Amino acid sequence: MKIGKGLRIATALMLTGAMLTACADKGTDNSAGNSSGKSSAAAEKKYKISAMTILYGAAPPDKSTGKKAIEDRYNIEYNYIPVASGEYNNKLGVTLASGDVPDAVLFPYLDAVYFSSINSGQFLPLESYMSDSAKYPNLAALPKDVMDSLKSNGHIYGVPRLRGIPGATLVLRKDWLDKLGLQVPTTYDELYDVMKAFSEKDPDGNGKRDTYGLAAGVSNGFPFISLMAAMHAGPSVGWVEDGQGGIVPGEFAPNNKLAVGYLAKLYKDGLIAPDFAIKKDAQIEDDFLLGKAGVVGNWGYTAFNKDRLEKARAVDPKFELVAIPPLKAPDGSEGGYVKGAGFFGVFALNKELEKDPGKLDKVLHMLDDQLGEEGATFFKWGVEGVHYKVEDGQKVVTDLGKTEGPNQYQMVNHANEGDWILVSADTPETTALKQNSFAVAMQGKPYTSQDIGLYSATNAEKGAELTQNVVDGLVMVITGHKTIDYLDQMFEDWKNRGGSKILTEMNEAWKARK
Amino acid sequence: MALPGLLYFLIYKYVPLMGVVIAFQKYKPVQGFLRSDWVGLDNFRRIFDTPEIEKYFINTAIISCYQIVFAFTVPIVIAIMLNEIRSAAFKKIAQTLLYLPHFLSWVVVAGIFYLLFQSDGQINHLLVSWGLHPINILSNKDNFRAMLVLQVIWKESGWGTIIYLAALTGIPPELYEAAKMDGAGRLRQIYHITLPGIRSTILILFILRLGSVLDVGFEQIYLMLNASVSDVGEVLDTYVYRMGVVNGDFSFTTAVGLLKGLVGMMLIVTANRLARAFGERGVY
Amino acid sequence: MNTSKKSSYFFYSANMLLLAMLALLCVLPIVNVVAMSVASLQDIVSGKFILWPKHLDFKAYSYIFNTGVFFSSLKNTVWITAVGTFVNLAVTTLLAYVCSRQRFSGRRMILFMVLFTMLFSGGMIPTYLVVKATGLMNSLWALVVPSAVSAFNMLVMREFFESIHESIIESATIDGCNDLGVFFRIVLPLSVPSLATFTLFYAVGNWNQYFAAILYLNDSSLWPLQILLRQVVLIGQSDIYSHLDSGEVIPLPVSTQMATVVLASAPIVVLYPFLQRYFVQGLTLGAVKG
Repeated sequence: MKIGKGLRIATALMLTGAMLTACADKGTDNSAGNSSGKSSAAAEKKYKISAMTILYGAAPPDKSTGKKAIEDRYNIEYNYIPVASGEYNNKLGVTLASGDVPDAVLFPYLDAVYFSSINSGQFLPLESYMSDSAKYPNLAALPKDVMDSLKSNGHIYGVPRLRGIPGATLVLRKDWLDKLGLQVPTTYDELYDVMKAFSEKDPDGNGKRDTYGLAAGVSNGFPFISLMAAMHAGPSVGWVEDGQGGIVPGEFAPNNKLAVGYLAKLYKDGLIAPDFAIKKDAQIEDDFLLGKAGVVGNWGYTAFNKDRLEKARAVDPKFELVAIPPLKAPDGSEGGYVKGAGFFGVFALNKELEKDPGKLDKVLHMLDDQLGEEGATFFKWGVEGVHYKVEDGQKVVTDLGKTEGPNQYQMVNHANEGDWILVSADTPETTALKQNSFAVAMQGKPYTSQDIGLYSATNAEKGAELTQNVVDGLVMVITGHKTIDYLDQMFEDWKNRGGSKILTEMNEAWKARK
Repeated sequence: MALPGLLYFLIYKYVPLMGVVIAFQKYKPVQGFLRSDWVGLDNFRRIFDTPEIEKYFINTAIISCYQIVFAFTVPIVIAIMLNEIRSAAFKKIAQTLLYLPHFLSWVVVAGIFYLLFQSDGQINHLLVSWGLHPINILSNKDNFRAMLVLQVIWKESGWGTIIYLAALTGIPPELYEAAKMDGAGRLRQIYHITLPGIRSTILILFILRLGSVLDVGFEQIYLMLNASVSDVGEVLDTYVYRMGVVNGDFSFTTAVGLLKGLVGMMLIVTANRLARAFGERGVY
Repeated sequence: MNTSKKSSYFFYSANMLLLAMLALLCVLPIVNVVAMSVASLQDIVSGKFILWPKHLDFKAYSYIFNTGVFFSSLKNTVWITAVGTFVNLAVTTLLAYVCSRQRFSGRRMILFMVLFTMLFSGGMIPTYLVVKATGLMNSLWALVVPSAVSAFNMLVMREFFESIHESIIESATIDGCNDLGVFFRIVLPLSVPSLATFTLFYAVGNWNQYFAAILYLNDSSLWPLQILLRQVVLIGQSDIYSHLDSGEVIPLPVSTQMATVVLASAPIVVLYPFLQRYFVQGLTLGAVKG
């Protein structure tokens, strides 16, 4: 065989060649992605706009009537890049590294990835455009609360996808309350009694003691946000004010022993499942829907939908539920729920757009349009006769509208208020449930988690690891393997391992924003 | 003849390999490999600064040992058992059924496991209706690792037999005939003919398995892990996931990858030397 | 004589029984998955059936067929599997064969080089940049070329080729065959069982690709079936939606998830029974050696 020598030469040649290609790629590839040069030369200025966003569930078709309708509406060529939710960070990483950044990029969370990206100068500060109420009325009218939490070093880099401000509320099995002749609880003690009755008095009437008070579990955190809310402490409420002019994580807030102790008592008295620590979101939800538990602590108004009710009623046709007003705080004062952030993810715009004002204006106009009444209506319903039809004066979505309507390719949406909290699939019942939840969530003294939009470098680096320790520790306390005083030790550990630095950084950022 | 393959490895494996420099950087995608800040061994220091790292490492090593001792050997046993079957139809059907679980993703397997084994799951309903005590295996430290390995055995053993079945086809049937004439029983035939016939395949697979000794199946463990068992179930991969992957910290994940590669390298080189010293071909 | 026959009969029956039990253990959960995919909501939530539901309901399947992307995904996956596996086998067998020949002096170096890539990799970003530089972005070839050879398969295949005796090849060379001729006329026909094995390994690997597709393919019209599968199943079962306002993402019904599992796996599962006949013992090597 004469492979030996020739092979070695070829190898050497290829290696050199390949290295050169790779280097060239890293050095000079900035222009390739931006077709601005090409398209601005075209006469009618039909821009090619690319937008990368997160995708849950099946992808909409790449060529469709809905996408076409959007392209016609804006006179653009729309390059819509959906990214499977599980791998969004990876795709974002390679996209930023390749220099091939789409015109608009969604950042689903204001996390380490987001902050390092906006600090890198690859995205455009938007505050000057967004305050131009003549050109972009809807961008200018974005809620001040939300925009304040998006401010970073005085700049705003993202157009938020708005969500409702009202957050999660406590949701109870109404039919169980009625059956056992119980009142809607207004204090933590009354709630405890209700949960006790739910677990001991056979609310489902099957003669067995097979129900629990609270649908509990642990996934990325604890699903107890609305349960803990009035305590201003405990897992899942985020960072709260510590009463001394600063902020701390809820787990270490002044009331923390009260809050965690309450959970430990529920566990000890058998009101939550003995193996709750293994349950993740899907199991927690099933426990409530399928009649294993009577209270759920993380449902916001969006949770009330037809599918969930159908599922629950397949088990128990009498299934009824109610979102209740906030409990009184432990000291007897008026309580309140934790408000939502008011948005979920933001779109940042490629810095390169600055060089092509016409294109930048187009992208901003698209975002502005989708926030407004008229544009949002178009996105919600699509084209008449294609994506919806009118029957008896009511708009009805067609099958085509469900699979490829413009809403499948939407970037941002109308503020969630009034009828905009409803979706086309809502029934009179889900409409009433949503509206009730929306209203009760804002009763009493609702407050916001203080950490939203704050950046701490140490937290970005070590936060996830430290949080894991805290979660493990809390489970030990709740299940009675450690006493409640273990919380003090956990706090010390947390501080020693980087938590002190996180506290300092977060408090500085918090004060700077104030 | 070998050129396409060599080119492939050079272009798609060795050129990207230059990217491991980010293990020594604070890499930011925007700045690239050339302009990111150099931080020396900081990323490695971060690994060893974690107080629990020793625990994670030990958990990983123990689970990995279990897997090598059990999950690695079961396919060999099943392959030999299948080889002993005379009925072609039975053999084919059994093979096909055994390899089916390989096609379920871990998400689905974990989902089924939760439904069956949670405190009020189907298995416990059954046990209670028979008057037995309910069992708790999902949040029990004592059996968590065993459960992980059993899951792997269930899911991958059938699939793992395929390669041994292929190797078994290389054994000339005359050898068995001759052994039978000499009055050798089935077990003796297995010991003297079957096993030597697939020895070199077993050895190669074993050496290659050593290379990934610190990979114990992230997806599976991540899905099964919970706070009650984290003491025995947290492994390097779940740790890296929290520290690096969720933060998009590519430097950190690369640094850990490099370390894992070094460990695998040492094991493989040692094992290969030993194999060759004993007259076997080895991997290279 | 008689006792040895008896014990061998016992051994044989015990072996068969044990295998049958193992096979049953493997297949029952699969039956459960199929059953859930056609079960009515009532049957699923009541949790009472394990093997077959009382009320059949095919809504889950019609949902998937109506997603609009199922058939294009299936088409892409079949293309990737067919073309990919062909490329895999072509490149891998050639390299493995060369490295299995003692007279080729560079073999140990190449083998080590290949092994090295199993242990160390540049990671996602550098690989992405190379894939982009080689012009494969947003093309199905990005799921074929950058994964043309699996180091593992190549190393094991070479081990299989080692068992072909050098004398067979020498005699063929003397008969006037060149290297390629020897490879195609002698080596490949002698290696049918191992080729069948690696066809299966590669085909299943290609069928299951999804990560590369997410990175390299922007057009959803190019996406393979596995992305659809993960999108449908993950939403239901993992905790990805715990960050969101609860309820933002609605998990699909269990029956839909399981129907997707069935549809996304069935076509590749049936490949094995087809390849099985090539695993007939002693057919090839024994015949030639004799």
